[in-house]
Amino acid sequence: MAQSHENTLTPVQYYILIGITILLFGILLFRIYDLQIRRYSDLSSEAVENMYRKYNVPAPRGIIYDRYNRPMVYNQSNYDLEVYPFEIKQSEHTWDVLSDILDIPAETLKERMEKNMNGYYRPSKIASSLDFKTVSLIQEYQLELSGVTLTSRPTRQYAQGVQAGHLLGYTTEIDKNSVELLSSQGYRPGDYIGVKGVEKSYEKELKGTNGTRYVRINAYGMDFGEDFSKSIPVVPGNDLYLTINMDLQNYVESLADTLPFSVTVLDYTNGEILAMTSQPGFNPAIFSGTVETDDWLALLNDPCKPLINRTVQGLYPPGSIFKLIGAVAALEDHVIPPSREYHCSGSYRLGRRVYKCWKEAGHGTLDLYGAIENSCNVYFYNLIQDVGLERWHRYGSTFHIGMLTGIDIPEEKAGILPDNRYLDEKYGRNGWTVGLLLNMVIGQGDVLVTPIDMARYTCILATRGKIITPHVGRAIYDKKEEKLRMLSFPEDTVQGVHTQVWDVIHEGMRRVVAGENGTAKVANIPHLEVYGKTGTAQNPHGEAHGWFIGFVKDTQFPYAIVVFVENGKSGSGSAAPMARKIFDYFWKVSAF
Amino acid sequence: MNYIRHLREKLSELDYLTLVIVLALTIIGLFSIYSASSAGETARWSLQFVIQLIALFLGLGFFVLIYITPKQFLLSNAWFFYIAGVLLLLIPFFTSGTIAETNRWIDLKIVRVQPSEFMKFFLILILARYFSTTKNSTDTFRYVFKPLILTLLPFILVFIQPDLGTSLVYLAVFIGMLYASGYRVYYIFLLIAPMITVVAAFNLTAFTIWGILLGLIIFFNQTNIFASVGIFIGNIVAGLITPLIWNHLKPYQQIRILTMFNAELDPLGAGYQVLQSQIAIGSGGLRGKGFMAGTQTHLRFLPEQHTDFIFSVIAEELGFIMVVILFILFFTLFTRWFRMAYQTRDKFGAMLIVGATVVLLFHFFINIGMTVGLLPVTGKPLPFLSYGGSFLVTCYGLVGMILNGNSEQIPRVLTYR
Repeated sequence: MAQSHENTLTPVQYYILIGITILLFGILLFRIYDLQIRRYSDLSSEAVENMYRKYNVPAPRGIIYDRYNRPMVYNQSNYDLEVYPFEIKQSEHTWDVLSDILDIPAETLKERMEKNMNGYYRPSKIASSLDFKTVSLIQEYQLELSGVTLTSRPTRQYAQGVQAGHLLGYTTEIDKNSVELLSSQGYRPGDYIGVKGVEKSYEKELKGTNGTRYVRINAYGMDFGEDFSKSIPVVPGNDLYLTINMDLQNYVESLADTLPFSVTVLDYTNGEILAMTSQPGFNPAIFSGTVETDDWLALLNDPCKPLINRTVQGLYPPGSIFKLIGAVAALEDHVIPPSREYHCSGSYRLGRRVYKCWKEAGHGTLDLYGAIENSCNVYFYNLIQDVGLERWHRYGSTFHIGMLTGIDIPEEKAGILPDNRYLDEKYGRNGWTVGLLLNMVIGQGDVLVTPIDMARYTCILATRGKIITPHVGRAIYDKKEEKLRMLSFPEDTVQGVHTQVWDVIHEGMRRVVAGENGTAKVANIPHLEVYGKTGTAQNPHGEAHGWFIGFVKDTQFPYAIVVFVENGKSGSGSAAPMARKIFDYFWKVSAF
Repeated sequence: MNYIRHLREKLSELDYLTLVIVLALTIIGLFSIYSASSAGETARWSLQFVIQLIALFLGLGFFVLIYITPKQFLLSNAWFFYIAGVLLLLIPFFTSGTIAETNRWIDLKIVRVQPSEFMKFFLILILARYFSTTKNSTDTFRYVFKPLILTLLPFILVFIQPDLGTSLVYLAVFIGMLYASGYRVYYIFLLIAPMITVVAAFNLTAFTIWGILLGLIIFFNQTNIFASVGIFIGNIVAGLITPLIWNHLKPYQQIRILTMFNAELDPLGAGYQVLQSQIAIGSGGLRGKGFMAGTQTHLRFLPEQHTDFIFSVIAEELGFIMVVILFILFFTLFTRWFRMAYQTRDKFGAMLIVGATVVLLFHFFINIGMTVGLLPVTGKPLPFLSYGGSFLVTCYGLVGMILNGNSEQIPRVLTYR
């Protein structure tokens, strides 16, 4: 038996085996070092993320109250359906059950999930604004629906009769692009954002701050209860108190006519708007929940353009209501005294052109009061030639014509009050004549205004020069501070117009309503001292537009009103009667 | 009285350090199993902990049994064991009631046995016998022919169970022992080459580079021009038909292999497990989250945490410091055993040590490589630490085999080359 007394392995073999062992250990240890030391902070935060499921708790939007603290817009729970992609993907059965309950093909639901997905472990919305029956079915089958959650979201609800889409605006789910832009302001996917009206202009106040619930879960998604130390509580949106009188607002909305129109009723002492409408409008309630595509298309394609807020966005020639600017300019600069008389034969010749008065037979000889009462064009043709463009523009500017009013309704447009420069630019340096001025003094031609601009103008006339900011917001109830914050709006004064001048204007405006030949006699109601002025604005695209501006001299009813009727043919025939109805309404309602 | 003397001699030769380290590892494993298996429940003696404790005693018994068995007996009966092992491997194919569509288990009602575990011992035995007694020259292909067939038979039987991991263990044992027996490295390379060819075949660039490398190595080691060309062409052909074979693999096997290359390929399948395991290990940091305090473990984000992913539990709860300690313990064991193989004058014993050490080292590397995301999820447990009765008993048996191989007595009946 020969026995080897040498080692069976050579030293090289031994060292290679040790070397391989060292290599294998080294590879593993290096990798573990990389995980545990170098990537420690990343991976430990991933471990923490693993432990929690984050629920976004949408903040209820602030409630919107009217002038008498009656809620106009409030919230109601609305159920959305969300799924967790990583959980639901494991079961085809869940999709089938969901498909049966919702009566939507499973494929469509899956597509929705893919479309709205932003992460495998984040909820993805597949249906919103479920009806009561669907909600109860889902609760009933909850056990078969793992990975499916109902989330309740407060949605907008409107008080009985409220139709004021343009005033209130509406809310809609924020789109993906806007989320990225606004994420720094706390917007998250699925949040709702205000569009149009006060929902938009007071978005920051109404929105509130979303909360987050952190719920501990395990790998199966099993719920171990909320971790309150991590959860962020919801801060509900601030409540908004409006200057709107809900009854009057509803009444004004209900005046809906075949013609588009705009009405604004406001307190001329401070600019508080009691009612404002632009018709045709829309009912904001159709936007709560999901908008049916048909409703939306109907709104978009309506030839009357119900989505345009005529009151703040519509630019129209003001017509005769604008003559008072010329009158103020003439009186204040002593170009004429109010007693100055001109003769109206129904038309006026300047150079080779003939400028007509609205009354073909002519008004005969009139002083300024009579000219205002009768709204005589020829009188003003005469007057303006002595006043001149520069002076007329200067007084127009002191009335802030053509400047934004700063109303707290979004997307306001500024009117146009032409001056030399404007006309030079538009027609060329020598391309226009004084004839343009004749048109402009009666509110035609290049002058363009919005109804809200005219509302401010009416208030200036009523208050003898106080320039208010028309507004609908009155106060904010701050939920965090727990106190009411009154809103204030800038005010200004028209400089350099004397009492005597205002007296003349008021006398003229009173005669428009109360005078024998007044163009707005229809608006004269026995109990109130109403002042007014009508306007009929020629419109190259169709029938003339009708205007009425007016105010009530009464400490109880310090209200101004502006009515605009698109294609209403004449101010006295369309706008003034509508104003009469409104005066009647608040006399009747407030009389007791 | 010969018998008593034999026992006394064996006891005096026992390597206590090995035993202490192995027991220490098992105890760390027991605590970790306790933590992992009581996840999400109120603390109580978990069933798995108790089973593992019982397995530890069985393992110690098995260790003693193998340790005291005379090497002569093992050598003489190697063929008997080998044939019995192969027959055992066939049993699961004929018994009904397969578990998870595999033919891995023999159900003995009380316990289920994996014959592929026993086969590890029998393969080591038969290979140790061959390598320590063959008269063939190590420079010839004839030398490798017989052991290759002996390995491929169980390899194929286990591969089709299917249990890719264990079949790879057999291959590792074969290559390790072949190398330790003094076979030329170049020939071993030629044996491994087809496997690299297969992996490289999935990527054209890799396949091209590998082809060039293969050609160069063959060229510089060439002995016979015809053999060289034949080997080269054989490899290329194997690489070309690989995609066809790929399509015949089971989807879960494909996924496991695929996730080796991209863990995030299927975040809810095998990739999810690896991702969660890496999060568990990484979030443990230097000091760990504390015993029983691993969030990944206790909220069950870790898959199969008490079996295949026990290392992730330890790394999460006890941190990098404990990982280093574990590595030192394992490193001490493996190097100590290789040193035993180097120093022993008995070639049969040395072969037993190398074979058993390779099995344990292979498991160690494959398991931890899997938990840290370097290697595919093959489902190989970690020696001494993972839950699993059969495997713990096997590990203790392998330690018994190593220490037995290290003992002084040398088989008498066979002559050495």
